[in-house]
Amino acid sequence: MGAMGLFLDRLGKFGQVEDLELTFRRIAFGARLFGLAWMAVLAIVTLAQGGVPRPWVVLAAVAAAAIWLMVSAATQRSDFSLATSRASILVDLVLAAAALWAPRWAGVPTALFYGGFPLLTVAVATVRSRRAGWLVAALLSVVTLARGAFDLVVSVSQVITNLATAALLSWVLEVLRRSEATSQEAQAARVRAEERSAVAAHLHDSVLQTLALIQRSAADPGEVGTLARRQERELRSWLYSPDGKQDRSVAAELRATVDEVETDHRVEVELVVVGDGPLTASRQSLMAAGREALVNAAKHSGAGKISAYLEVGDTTRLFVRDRGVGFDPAAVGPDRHGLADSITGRLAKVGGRAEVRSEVGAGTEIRLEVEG
Amino acid sequence: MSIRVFLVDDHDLFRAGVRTALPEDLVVVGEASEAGPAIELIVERRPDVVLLDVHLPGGGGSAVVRAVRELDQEITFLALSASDAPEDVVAVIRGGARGYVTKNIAPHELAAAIRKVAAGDAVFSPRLAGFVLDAFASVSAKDIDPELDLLSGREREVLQLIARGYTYKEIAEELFISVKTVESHVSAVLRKLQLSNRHELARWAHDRGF
Repeated sequence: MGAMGLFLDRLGKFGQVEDLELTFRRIAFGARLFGLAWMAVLAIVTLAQGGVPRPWVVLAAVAAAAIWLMVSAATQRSDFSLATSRASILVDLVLAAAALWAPRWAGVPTALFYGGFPLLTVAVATVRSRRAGWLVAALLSVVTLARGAFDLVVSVSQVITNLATAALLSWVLEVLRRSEATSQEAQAARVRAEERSAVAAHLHDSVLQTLALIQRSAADPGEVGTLARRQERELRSWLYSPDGKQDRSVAAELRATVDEVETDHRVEVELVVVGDGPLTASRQSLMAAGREALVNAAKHSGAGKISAYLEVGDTTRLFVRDRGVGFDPAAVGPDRHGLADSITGRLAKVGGRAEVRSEVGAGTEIRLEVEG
Repeated sequence: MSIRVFLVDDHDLFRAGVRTALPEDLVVVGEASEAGPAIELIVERRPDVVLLDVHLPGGGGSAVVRAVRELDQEITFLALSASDAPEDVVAVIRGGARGYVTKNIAPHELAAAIRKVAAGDAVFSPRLAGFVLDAFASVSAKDIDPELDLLSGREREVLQLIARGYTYKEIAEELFISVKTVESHVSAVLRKLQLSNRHELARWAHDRGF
Protein backbone atom coordinates (compact mmCIF):
# COMPACT_ATOMS: atom_id res chain seq x y z
CA MET A 1 0.00 0.00 0.00
CA GLY A 2 1.41 3.35 -1.07
CA ALA A 3 0.80 5.35 2.07
CA MET A 4 2.15 2.65 4.34
CA GLY A 5 5.27 2.12 2.26
CA LEU A 6 5.97 5.80 2.27
CA PHE A 7 5.66 5.85 5.99
CA LEU A 8 8.10 2.99 6.48
CA ASP A 9 10.58 4.73 4.20
CA ARG A 10 10.38 7.78 6.33
CA LEU A 11 10.79 5.73 9.48
CA GLY A 12 13.95 4.18 8.03
CA LYS A 13 15.46 7.61 7.64
CA PHE A 14 15.11 8.31 11.34
CA GLY A 15 17.73 5.60 11.91
CA GLN A 16 17.83 5.92 15.67
CA VAL A 17 20.30 3.11 16.22
CA GLU A 18 22.63 4.84 13.82
CA ASP A 19 22.31 8.04 15.81
CA LEU A 20 23.40 6.20 18.94
CA GLU A 21 26.39 4.67 17.16
CA LEU A 22 27.32 8.10 15.85
CA THR A 23 27.30 9.43 19.39
CA PHE A 24 29.52 6.56 20.53
CA ARG A 25 31.98 7.25 17.75
CA ARG A 26 32.02 10.91 18.61
CA ILE A 27 32.76 10.04 22.23
CA ALA A 28 35.53 7.67 21.09
CA PHE A 29 37.01 10.46 19.00
CA GLY A 30 36.92 12.81 22.00
CA ALA A 31 38.49 10.16 24.24
CA ARG A 32 41.37 9.69 21.82
CA LEU A 33 42.10 13.43 21.61
CA PHE A 34 41.87 13.70 25.38
CA GLY A 35 44.27 10.78 25.90
CA LEU A 36 46.79 12.21 23.44
CA ALA A 37 46.64 15.65 25.01
CA TRP A 38 47.04 14.12 28.45
CA MET A 39 50.21 12.31 27.33
CA ALA A 40 51.62 15.41 25.66
CA VAL A 41 51.11 17.57 28.76
CA LEU A 42 52.72 15.01 31.11
CA ALA A 43 55.63 14.51 28.70
CA ILE A 44 56.31 18.24 28.58
CA VAL A 45 56.16 18.44 32.39
CA THR A 46 58.60 15.51 32.59
CA LEU A 47 61.02 17.31 30.27
CA ALA A 48 60.66 20.56 32.20
CA GLN A 49 61.60 18.83 35.45
CA GLY A 50 64.90 17.87 33.84
CA GLY A 51 67.13 14.91 34.65
CA VAL A 52 66.01 12.86 31.67
CA PRO A 53 69.02 11.02 30.16
CA ARG A 54 67.52 10.69 26.66
CA PRO A 55 65.09 13.59 26.28
CA TRP A 56 64.65 12.98 22.53
CA VAL A 57 62.59 9.87 23.33
CA VAL A 58 60.13 11.99 25.27
CA LEU A 59 60.15 14.57 22.49
CA ALA A 60 59.49 11.81 19.97
CA ALA A 61 56.53 10.62 22.03
CA VAL A 62 55.13 14.16 22.13
CA ALA A 63 55.69 14.57 18.38
CA ALA A 64 54.02 11.25 17.58
CA ALA A 65 51.06 12.17 19.78
CA ALA A 66 50.81 15.61 18.15
CA ILE A 67 50.89 14.15 14.63
CA TRP A 68 48.27 11.52 15.40
CA LEU A 69 46.18 14.21 17.10
CA MET A 70 46.23 16.34 13.97
CA VAL A 71 45.71 13.45 11.57
CA SER A 72 42.73 12.14 13.47
CA ALA A 73 41.26 15.61 13.92
CA ALA A 74 41.64 16.30 10.20
CA THR A 75 40.18 13.01 8.98
CA GLN A 76 37.51 12.47 11.56
CA ARG A 77 36.08 15.79 12.49
CA SER A 78 33.35 15.69 9.87
CA ASP A 79 32.95 11.95 9.61
CA PHE A 80 33.21 10.05 12.82
CA SER A 81 32.90 6.75 11.03
CA LEU A 82 36.71 6.56 11.07
CA ALA A 83 36.94 7.14 14.81
CA THR A 84 36.54 3.46 15.65
CA SER A 85 37.95 2.06 12.42
CA ARG A 86 40.41 -0.80 12.59
CA ALA A 87 43.24 1.41 11.31
CA SER A 88 42.66 4.10 13.94
CA ILE A 89 42.64 1.53 16.70
CA LEU A 90 45.78 -0.07 15.33
CA VAL A 91 47.60 3.31 15.37
CA ASP A 92 46.34 3.89 18.91
CA LEU A 93 47.60 0.47 19.92
CA VAL A 94 51.09 0.98 18.46
CA LEU A 95 51.38 4.46 19.98
CA ALA A 96 50.17 3.26 23.38
CA ALA A 97 52.57 0.30 23.40
CA ALA A 98 55.43 2.60 22.44
CA ALA A 99 54.38 5.10 25.11
CA LEU A 100 54.34 2.35 27.74
CA TRP A 101 57.90 1.49 26.79
CA ALA A 102 59.08 5.09 26.36
CA PRO A 103 60.01 5.78 30.03
CA ARG A 104 62.55 2.95 29.83
CA TRP A 105 64.00 4.15 26.54
CA ALA A 106 64.24 7.66 27.95
CA GLY A 107 66.11 6.36 30.98
CA VAL A 108 63.47 7.42 33.50
CA PRO A 109 61.48 4.22 34.05
CA THR A 110 59.43 5.73 36.87
CA ALA A 111 58.13 8.69 34.88
CA LEU A 112 54.76 7.45 33.68
CA PHE A 113 54.25 10.32 31.23
CA TYR A 114 51.90 8.35 28.97
CA GLY A 115 49.15 9.24 31.44
CA GLY A 116 45.72 7.81 30.58
CA PHE A 117 46.43 7.22 26.89
CA PRO A 118 46.70 3.40 27.02
CA LEU A 119 43.55 3.21 29.10
CA LEU A 120 41.60 5.41 26.71
CA THR A 121 42.90 3.27 23.83
CA VAL A 122 41.22 0.30 25.49
CA ALA A 123 38.04 2.36 25.83
CA VAL A 124 38.02 3.38 22.15
CA ALA A 125 38.57 -0.23 21.04
CA THR A 126 35.72 -1.35 23.31
CA VAL A 127 33.39 1.10 21.56
CA ARG A 128 34.21 -0.67 18.29
CA SER A 129 33.39 -4.08 19.72
CA ARG A 130 33.71 -6.11 22.87
CA ARG A 131 36.26 -8.34 21.18
CA ALA A 132 38.46 -5.45 20.03
CA GLY A 133 38.31 -4.03 23.56
CA TRP A 134 39.47 -7.27 25.15
CA LEU A 135 42.19 -7.75 22.54
CA VAL A 136 43.66 -4.27 23.00
CA ALA A 137 43.41 -4.53 26.79
CA ALA A 138 45.20 -7.89 26.74
CA LEU A 139 47.97 -6.71 24.38
CA LEU A 140 48.63 -3.53 26.37
CA SER A 141 48.62 -5.56 29.60
CA VAL A 142 51.28 -7.86 28.15
CA VAL A 143 53.38 -4.82 27.19
CA THR A 144 52.86 -3.29 30.63
CA LEU A 145 54.04 -6.43 32.39
CA ALA A 146 56.83 -7.15 29.90
CA ARG A 147 58.51 -3.75 30.09
CA GLY A 148 60.02 -4.91 33.43
CA ALA A 149 58.80 -4.19 36.88
CA PHE A 150 60.06 -0.93 38.27
CA ASP A 151 57.04 -1.23 40.50
CA LEU A 152 54.98 -4.36 40.13
CA VAL A 153 52.06 -2.85 42.03
CA VAL A 154 51.75 -0.02 39.51
CA SER A 155 51.96 -2.42 36.57
CA VAL A 156 49.41 -4.84 37.98
CA SER A 157 47.06 -2.02 38.84
CA GLN A 158 47.34 -0.77 35.27
CA VAL A 159 46.56 -4.24 33.93
CA ILE A 160 43.53 -4.50 36.20
CA THR A 161 42.36 -1.05 35.13
CA ASN A 162 42.67 -2.01 31.44
CA LEU A 163 40.71 -5.23 31.85
CA ALA A 164 38.09 -3.64 34.09
CA THR A 165 37.58 -0.82 31.58
CA ALA A 166 37.07 -3.30 28.74
CA ALA A 167 34.64 -5.36 30.84
CA LEU A 168 32.59 -2.56 32.36
CA LEU A 169 32.48 -0.35 29.30
CA SER A 170 31.41 -3.16 26.97
CA TRP A 171 28.69 -4.03 29.44
CA VAL A 172 27.42 -0.45 29.61
CA LEU A 173 27.52 -0.13 25.82
CA GLU A 174 25.57 -3.33 25.38
CA VAL A 175 22.89 -2.18 27.79
CA LEU A 176 22.62 1.14 25.96
CA ARG A 177 22.47 -0.48 22.53
CA ARG A 178 19.86 -2.97 23.63
CA SER A 179 17.64 -0.35 25.21
CA GLU A 180 17.96 1.80 22.11
CA ALA A 181 16.86 -1.09 19.92
CA THR A 182 13.92 -1.75 22.24
CA SER A 183 12.83 1.86 22.21
CA GLN A 184 13.13 1.97 18.47
CA GLU A 185 10.92 -1.07 18.15
CA ALA A 186 8.43 0.57 20.45
CA GLN A 187 8.61 3.71 18.32
CA ALA A 188 8.00 1.69 15.15
CA ALA A 189 5.09 -0.07 16.80
CA ARG A 190 3.63 3.25 17.84
CA VAL A 191 4.01 4.60 14.32
CA ARG A 192 2.30 1.51 12.95
CA ALA A 193 -0.53 1.87 15.42
CA GLU A 194 -0.93 5.53 14.50
CA GLU A 195 -0.91 4.68 10.82
CA ARG A 196 -3.51 1.99 11.38
CA SER A 197 -5.79 4.32 13.28
CA ALA A 198 -5.35 6.97 10.59
CA VAL A 199 -6.38 4.39 8.00
CA ALA A 200 -9.34 3.37 10.14
CA ALA A 201 -10.36 6.99 10.60
CA HIS A 202 -10.12 7.65 6.90
CA LEU A 203 -12.13 4.57 6.00
CA HIS A 204 -14.71 5.54 8.55
CA ASP A 205 -15.05 9.09 7.25
CA SER A 206 -15.14 8.10 3.62
CA VAL A 207 -15.96 4.51 2.79
CA LEU A 208 -18.30 3.71 5.66
CA GLN A 209 -20.18 6.97 5.18
CA THR A 210 -20.59 6.25 1.50
CA LEU A 211 -21.78 2.72 2.18
CA ALA A 212 -24.40 4.13 4.54
CA LEU A 213 -25.50 6.58 1.86
CA ILE A 214 -25.64 3.79 -0.70
CA GLN A 215 -27.85 1.69 1.57
CA ARG A 216 -30.18 4.62 2.01
CA SER A 217 -30.42 5.29 -1.70
CA ALA A 218 -30.64 1.66 -2.74
CA ALA A 219 -33.81 2.40 -4.71
CA ASP A 220 -32.00 4.90 -6.92
CA PRO A 221 -29.44 3.13 -9.14
CA GLY A 222 -28.15 6.40 -10.61
CA GLU A 223 -27.40 7.82 -7.19
CA VAL A 224 -25.77 4.57 -6.07
CA GLY A 225 -23.53 4.56 -9.13
CA THR A 226 -22.49 8.16 -8.61
CA LEU A 227 -21.73 7.60 -4.94
CA ALA A 228 -19.73 4.47 -5.70
CA ARG A 229 -17.71 6.15 -8.43
CA ARG A 230 -16.92 9.18 -6.36
CA GLN A 231 -15.85 7.01 -3.45
CA GLU A 232 -13.74 4.85 -5.69
CA ARG A 233 -11.95 7.86 -7.09
CA GLU A 234 -11.42 9.39 -3.70
CA LEU A 235 -10.09 6.16 -2.24
CA ARG A 236 -7.78 5.58 -5.15
CA SER A 237 -6.28 9.05 -5.02
CA TRP A 238 -5.79 8.60 -1.30
CA LEU A 239 -4.05 5.25 -1.81
CA TYR A 240 -1.85 6.19 -4.70
CA SER A 241 -0.97 9.83 -4.20
CA PRO A 242 1.85 10.68 -1.82
CA ASP A 243 0.70 12.64 1.23
CA GLY A 244 0.14 16.30 0.77
CA LYS A 245 1.13 16.35 -2.86
CA GLN A 246 -1.37 18.90 -3.99
CA ASP A 247 0.18 20.68 -6.94
CA ARG A 248 -2.43 21.89 -9.33
CA SER A 249 -1.50 20.28 -12.60
CA VAL A 250 -3.71 20.46 -15.64
CA ALA A 251 -4.50 16.74 -15.29
CA ALA A 252 -5.44 17.15 -11.63
CA GLU A 253 -7.63 20.11 -12.52
CA LEU A 254 -9.50 18.12 -15.16
CA ARG A 255 -9.91 15.17 -12.81
CA ALA A 256 -11.48 17.46 -10.22
CA THR A 257 -13.78 18.93 -12.87
CA VAL A 258 -14.81 15.48 -14.07
CA ASP A 259 -15.51 14.50 -10.47
CA GLU A 260 -17.83 17.42 -10.01
CA VAL A 261 -19.66 16.88 -13.28
CA GLU A 262 -20.14 13.19 -12.50
CA THR A 263 -21.52 14.01 -9.09
CA ASP A 264 -23.73 16.89 -10.15
CA HIS A 265 -25.17 15.31 -13.27
CA ARG A 266 -25.06 11.60 -12.55
CA VAL A 267 -23.17 10.60 -15.63
CA GLU A 268 -20.10 8.47 -16.01
CA VAL A 269 -17.08 10.11 -17.57
CA GLU A 270 -14.35 7.88 -18.93
CA LEU A 271 -11.33 10.13 -18.58
CA VAL A 272 -8.00 9.41 -20.25
CA VAL A 273 -5.05 11.70 -19.76
CA VAL A 274 -1.76 11.60 -21.63
CA GLY A 275 1.06 13.74 -20.28
CA ASP A 276 0.73 16.45 -17.69
CA GLY A 277 1.99 19.91 -16.95
CA PRO A 278 1.39 23.06 -14.97
CA LEU A 279 -1.91 24.84 -15.22
CA THR A 280 -0.96 27.83 -17.37
CA ALA A 281 -3.38 30.62 -18.19
CA SER A 282 -4.26 29.20 -21.58
CA ARG A 283 -4.72 25.72 -20.15
CA GLN A 284 -6.95 27.25 -17.50
CA SER A 285 -9.17 28.60 -20.27
CA LEU A 286 -9.12 25.17 -21.86
CA MET A 287 -10.27 23.63 -18.59
CA ALA A 288 -13.09 26.15 -18.25
CA ALA A 289 -14.22 25.45 -21.81
CA GLY A 290 -13.89 21.72 -21.16
CA ARG A 291 -16.09 21.97 -18.11
CA GLU A 292 -18.73 23.66 -20.22
CA ALA A 293 -18.45 20.91 -22.83
CA LEU A 294 -18.78 18.21 -20.17
CA VAL A 295 -21.76 19.89 -18.55
CA ASN A 296 -23.44 20.33 -21.93
CA ALA A 297 -22.94 16.67 -22.74
CA ALA A 298 -24.22 15.64 -19.33
CA LYS A 299 -27.27 17.88 -19.49
CA HIS A 300 -28.35 17.68 -23.11
CA SER A 301 -27.01 14.55 -24.77
CA GLY A 302 -29.01 12.05 -22.76
CA ALA A 303 -26.02 9.69 -22.87
CA GLY A 304 -25.09 7.92 -19.65
CA LYS A 305 -21.43 7.89 -20.48
CA ILE A 306 -19.09 10.60 -21.73
CA SER A 307 -15.57 10.09 -23.00
CA ALA A 308 -12.97 12.75 -22.24
CA TYR A 309 -9.44 12.66 -23.55
CA LEU A 310 -6.76 15.17 -22.57
CA GLU A 311 -3.40 15.36 -24.26
CA VAL A 312 -0.92 17.72 -22.63
CA GLY A 313 2.02 19.00 -24.62
CA ASP A 314 3.14 22.00 -26.64
CA THR A 315 -0.40 21.98 -27.85
CA THR A 316 -2.88 20.84 -25.25
CA ARG A 317 -5.99 19.16 -26.60
CA LEU A 318 -9.19 18.12 -24.94
CA PHE A 319 -11.85 15.97 -26.57
CA VAL A 320 -15.28 15.50 -25.06
CA ARG A 321 -17.47 12.96 -26.73
CA ASP A 322 -20.87 11.49 -26.11
CA ARG A 323 -23.08 9.08 -28.01
CA GLY A 324 -26.24 10.93 -27.16
CA VAL A 325 -28.96 12.61 -29.17
CA GLY A 326 -26.67 15.03 -30.99
CA PHE A 327 -27.79 18.17 -32.79
CA ASP A 328 -27.28 20.01 -36.03
CA PRO A 329 -24.48 22.53 -35.42
CA ALA A 330 -25.61 24.65 -38.37
CA ALA A 331 -29.05 25.05 -36.85
CA VAL A 332 -27.80 26.39 -33.54
CA GLY A 333 -28.41 30.10 -33.32
CA PRO A 334 -25.52 32.40 -32.47
CA ASP A 335 -27.36 33.25 -29.26
CA ARG A 336 -26.73 29.87 -27.68
CA HIS A 337 -24.54 30.87 -24.82
CA GLY A 338 -22.96 27.62 -23.79
CA LEU A 339 -21.19 27.02 -27.04
CA ALA A 340 -20.59 30.52 -28.31
CA ASP A 341 -19.33 32.30 -25.22
CA SER A 342 -18.16 29.69 -22.81
CA ILE A 343 -16.38 27.50 -25.28
CA THR A 344 -15.49 29.21 -28.54
CA GLY A 345 -15.14 32.72 -27.13
CA ARG A 346 -13.13 31.67 -24.13
CA LEU A 347 -10.63 29.79 -26.25
CA ALA A 348 -10.40 32.50 -28.93
CA LYS A 349 -9.22 34.92 -26.24
CA VAL A 350 -6.13 32.81 -25.58
CA GLY A 351 -5.55 31.90 -29.21
CA GLY A 352 -7.14 28.48 -28.93
CA ARG A 353 -9.60 26.68 -31.15
CA ALA A 354 -12.85 24.84 -30.67
CA GLU A 355 -14.57 22.56 -33.11
CA VAL A 356 -17.94 20.92 -32.70
CA ARG A 357 -18.92 17.80 -34.54
CA SER A 358 -22.41 16.60 -34.01
CA GLU A 359 -25.02 14.69 -35.85
CA VAL A 360 -28.60 14.16 -34.83
CA GLY A 361 -28.85 10.67 -33.36
CA ALA A 362 -25.12 9.97 -33.43
CA GLY A 363 -23.85 12.11 -30.60
CA THR A 364 -21.42 14.97 -30.27
CA GLU A 365 -17.73 15.49 -30.07
CA ILE A 366 -16.22 18.77 -28.97
CA ARG A 367 -12.56 19.28 -29.78
CA LEU A 368 -10.69 21.96 -27.94
CA GLU A 369 -7.09 23.01 -28.17
CA VAL A 370 -4.74 25.70 -26.94
CA GLU A 371 -1.05 26.33 -27.45
CA GLY A 372 1.10 25.84 -24.36
CA MET B 1 -18.10 -22.85 -30.98
CA SER B 2 -17.88 -21.94 -27.36
CA ILE B 3 -14.91 -20.19 -25.82
CA ARG B 4 -13.42 -21.62 -22.64
CA VAL B 5 -12.73 -18.88 -20.12
CA PHE B 6 -10.70 -18.95 -16.92
CA LEU B 7 -11.17 -16.29 -14.22
CA VAL B 8 -8.33 -15.04 -12.04
CA ASP B 9 -9.38 -12.43 -9.51
CA ASP B 10 -9.03 -12.21 -5.76
CA HIS B 11 -12.51 -10.75 -5.33
CA ASP B 12 -15.05 -13.56 -5.01
CA LEU B 13 -17.89 -11.18 -5.72
CA PHE B 14 -16.33 -9.97 -8.92
CA ARG B 15 -15.78 -13.52 -10.17
CA ALA B 16 -19.36 -14.43 -9.32
CA GLY B 17 -20.55 -11.34 -11.18
CA VAL B 18 -18.56 -12.17 -14.30
CA ARG B 19 -19.71 -15.80 -14.19
CA THR B 20 -23.37 -14.85 -14.21
CA ALA B 21 -22.93 -12.03 -16.70
CA LEU B 22 -21.18 -14.00 -19.42
CA PRO B 23 -23.35 -15.36 -22.25
CA GLU B 24 -23.71 -19.11 -22.73
CA ASP B 25 -21.07 -19.54 -25.38
CA LEU B 26 -18.41 -18.26 -22.99
CA VAL B 27 -17.89 -21.17 -20.62
CA VAL B 28 -16.05 -20.63 -17.36
CA VAL B 29 -13.78 -23.66 -16.96
CA GLY B 30 -11.99 -22.60 -13.81
CA GLU B 31 -11.26 -19.89 -11.30
CA ALA B 32 -8.41 -18.90 -9.06
CA SER B 33 -7.85 -16.12 -6.57
CA GLU B 34 -4.08 -16.22 -6.24
CA ALA B 35 -1.12 -16.26 -8.60
CA GLY B 36 0.36 -19.64 -7.64
CA PRO B 37 -2.79 -21.79 -7.93
CA ALA B 38 -3.83 -19.79 -10.99
CA ILE B 39 -0.69 -20.77 -12.89
CA GLU B 40 -1.13 -24.48 -12.10
CA LEU B 41 -4.82 -24.59 -12.93
CA ILE B 42 -4.49 -22.60 -16.15
CA VAL B 43 -1.74 -24.84 -17.46
CA GLU B 44 -3.79 -27.89 -16.51
CA ARG B 45 -7.15 -26.79 -17.96
CA ARG B 46 -5.83 -24.91 -20.99
CA PRO B 47 -8.61 -22.34 -21.41
CA ASP B 48 -8.88 -20.25 -24.58
CA VAL B 49 -8.92 -16.98 -22.69
CA VAL B 50 -7.82 -16.08 -19.16
CA LEU B 51 -9.49 -13.05 -17.63
CA LEU B 52 -6.74 -11.80 -15.38
CA ASP B 53 -6.88 -9.23 -12.63
CA VAL B 54 -3.82 -6.98 -12.74
CA HIS B 55 -3.58 -6.91 -8.95
CA LEU B 56 -3.25 -10.31 -7.38
CA PRO B 57 -1.92 -11.63 -4.11
CA GLY B 58 1.23 -13.69 -4.63
CA GLY B 59 2.93 -11.97 -7.53
CA GLY B 60 0.52 -9.83 -9.52
CA GLY B 61 -1.01 -10.47 -12.88
CA SER B 62 2.19 -10.05 -14.85
CA ALA B 63 3.79 -12.98 -12.99
CA VAL B 64 0.90 -15.23 -14.02
CA VAL B 65 1.09 -14.20 -17.68
CA ARG B 66 4.82 -14.74 -17.83
CA ALA B 67 4.77 -18.09 -16.07
CA VAL B 68 1.92 -19.50 -18.14
CA ARG B 69 3.19 -18.20 -21.45
CA GLU B 70 6.55 -19.80 -20.82
CA LEU B 71 4.80 -23.17 -20.64
CA ASP B 72 1.99 -22.64 -23.11
CA GLN B 73 1.92 -19.95 -25.78
CA GLU B 74 -1.58 -20.93 -26.93
CA ILE B 75 -3.36 -19.44 -23.96
CA THR B 76 -4.55 -15.89 -24.43
CA PHE B 77 -4.86 -13.33 -21.64
CA LEU B 78 -7.21 -10.40 -21.25
CA ALA B 79 -6.16 -8.20 -18.36
CA LEU B 80 -8.64 -6.25 -16.33
CA SER B 81 -8.42 -4.09 -13.27
CA ALA B 82 -9.92 -1.29 -11.30
CA SER B 83 -6.49 0.18 -10.76
CA ASP B 84 -5.02 3.33 -12.13
CA ALA B 85 -1.38 2.36 -11.76
CA PRO B 86 -0.15 2.43 -15.38
CA GLU B 87 3.06 0.53 -14.76
CA ASP B 88 1.16 -2.52 -13.49
CA VAL B 89 -1.11 -2.53 -16.49
CA VAL B 90 1.74 -2.06 -18.92
CA ALA B 91 3.66 -4.87 -17.15
CA VAL B 92 0.82 -7.31 -17.77
CA ILE B 93 0.56 -6.28 -21.41
CA ARG B 94 4.30 -6.59 -21.84
CA GLY B 95 4.10 -10.00 -20.19
CA GLY B 96 1.91 -11.11 -23.09
CA ALA B 97 -1.72 -10.16 -22.40
CA ARG B 98 -3.68 -9.41 -25.58
CA GLY B 99 -5.65 -6.58 -24.12
CA TYR B 100 -6.80 -4.62 -21.13
CA VAL B 101 -10.23 -3.47 -20.02
CA THR B 102 -11.42 -1.77 -16.86
CA LYS B 103 -13.67 -3.52 -14.38
CA ASN B 104 -16.54 -1.12 -14.91
CA ILE B 105 -16.96 -2.47 -18.44
CA ALA B 106 -20.51 -3.43 -19.40
CA PRO B 107 -21.12 -7.23 -19.57
CA HIS B 108 -21.79 -7.29 -23.32
CA GLU B 109 -18.61 -5.30 -23.93
CA LEU B 110 -16.65 -7.73 -21.79
CA ALA B 111 -18.03 -10.65 -23.79
CA ALA B 112 -17.11 -8.87 -27.02
CA ALA B 113 -13.59 -8.23 -25.72
CA ILE B 114 -13.18 -11.90 -24.78
CA ARG B 115 -14.28 -13.00 -28.25
CA LYS B 116 -11.90 -10.53 -29.79
CA VAL B 117 -8.79 -11.70 -27.94
CA ALA B 118 -9.84 -15.32 -28.53
CA ALA B 119 -9.86 -14.52 -32.25
CA GLY B 120 -6.33 -13.19 -31.97
CA ASP B 121 -7.10 -9.48 -31.96
CA ALA B 122 -5.90 -6.97 -29.44
CA VAL B 123 -8.33 -5.16 -27.16
CA PHE B 124 -7.40 -1.70 -26.03
CA SER B 125 -9.62 0.18 -23.64
CA PRO B 126 -9.39 3.98 -23.77
CA ARG B 127 -7.38 3.90 -20.58
CA LEU B 128 -4.82 1.46 -21.95
CA ALA B 129 -4.52 3.54 -25.10
CA GLY B 130 -3.75 6.52 -22.87
CA PHE B 131 -1.11 4.60 -20.92
CA VAL B 132 0.55 3.44 -24.10
CA LEU B 133 0.59 6.90 -25.65
CA ASP B 134 2.04 8.22 -22.44
CA ALA B 135 4.71 5.53 -22.33
CA PHE B 136 5.84 6.07 -25.91
CA ALA B 137 5.57 9.85 -25.74
CA SER B 138 7.94 10.13 -22.82
CA VAL B 139 10.64 7.94 -24.30
CA SER B 140 13.15 10.44 -25.58
CA ALA B 141 14.16 10.30 -29.23
CA LYS B 142 17.79 9.43 -28.70
CA ASP B 143 17.01 6.17 -26.89
CA ILE B 144 14.67 4.95 -29.51
CA ASP B 145 15.27 1.80 -31.44
CA PRO B 146 13.57 2.88 -34.66
CA GLU B 147 12.49 -0.66 -35.51
CA LEU B 148 10.48 -1.11 -32.38
CA ASP B 149 10.01 1.84 -30.22
CA LEU B 150 8.36 4.48 -32.33
CA LEU B 151 4.68 4.43 -32.99
CA SER B 152 3.88 5.31 -36.56
CA GLY B 153 1.72 8.37 -37.16
CA ARG B 154 -1.17 6.11 -38.05
CA GLU B 155 -0.78 3.99 -34.94
CA ARG B 156 -0.70 7.10 -32.82
CA GLU B 157 -3.88 8.37 -34.49
CA VAL B 158 -5.62 5.06 -33.87
CA LEU B 159 -4.60 5.07 -30.21
CA GLN B 160 -5.73 8.67 -29.77
CA LEU B 161 -9.12 7.82 -31.21
CA ILE B 162 -9.43 4.81 -28.91
CA ALA B 163 -8.56 7.08 -26.00
CA ARG B 164 -11.26 9.49 -27.17
CA GLY B 165 -13.83 6.71 -26.88
CA TYR B 166 -14.14 5.66 -30.52
CA THR B 167 -14.96 2.08 -31.41
CA TYR B 168 -12.89 0.30 -34.05
CA LYS B 169 -15.72 0.82 -36.52
CA GLU B 170 -15.87 4.55 -35.81
CA ILE B 171 -12.10 4.79 -36.12
CA ALA B 172 -12.26 3.06 -39.48
CA GLU B 173 -14.83 5.59 -40.69
CA GLU B 174 -12.91 8.54 -39.29
CA LEU B 175 -9.64 7.52 -40.95
CA PHE B 176 -11.19 6.09 -44.12
CA ILE B 177 -9.66 2.68 -43.55
CA SER B 178 -11.14 -0.77 -42.94
CA VAL B 179 -11.86 -2.21 -39.51
CA LYS B 180 -9.32 -4.94 -40.30
CA THR B 181 -6.67 -2.27 -40.82
CA VAL B 182 -7.56 -0.67 -37.48
CA GLU B 183 -7.17 -4.06 -35.86
CA SER B 184 -3.81 -4.63 -37.45
CA HIS B 185 -2.60 -1.22 -36.25
CA VAL B 186 -3.65 -2.07 -32.71
CA SER B 187 -1.92 -5.46 -32.92
CA ALA B 188 1.22 -3.74 -34.18
CA VAL B 189 1.17 -1.38 -31.20
CA LEU B 190 0.76 -4.34 -28.89
CA ARG B 191 3.74 -6.05 -30.47
CA LYS B 192 5.90 -2.94 -30.16
CA LEU B 193 4.89 -2.56 -26.56
CA GLN B 194 5.84 -6.17 -25.83
CA LEU B 195 9.16 -5.99 -27.64
CA SER B 196 10.35 -2.47 -26.88
CA ASN B 197 13.33 -1.83 -24.71
CA ARG B 198 12.66 -2.75 -21.11
CA HIS B 199 14.90 0.01 -19.82
CA GLU B 200 12.98 2.86 -21.44
CA LEU B 201 9.65 1.73 -20.08
CA ALA B 202 11.16 1.23 -16.69
CA ARG B 203 12.29 4.82 -16.80
CA TRP B 204 8.88 5.89 -17.92
CA ALA B 205 7.40 4.22 -14.86
CA HIS B 206 10.07 5.81 -12.71
CA ASP B 207 9.45 9.30 -14.13
CA ARG B 208 5.80 8.96 -13.32
CA GLY B 209 6.76 8.41 -9.72
CA PHE B 210 6.16 4.72 -9.36
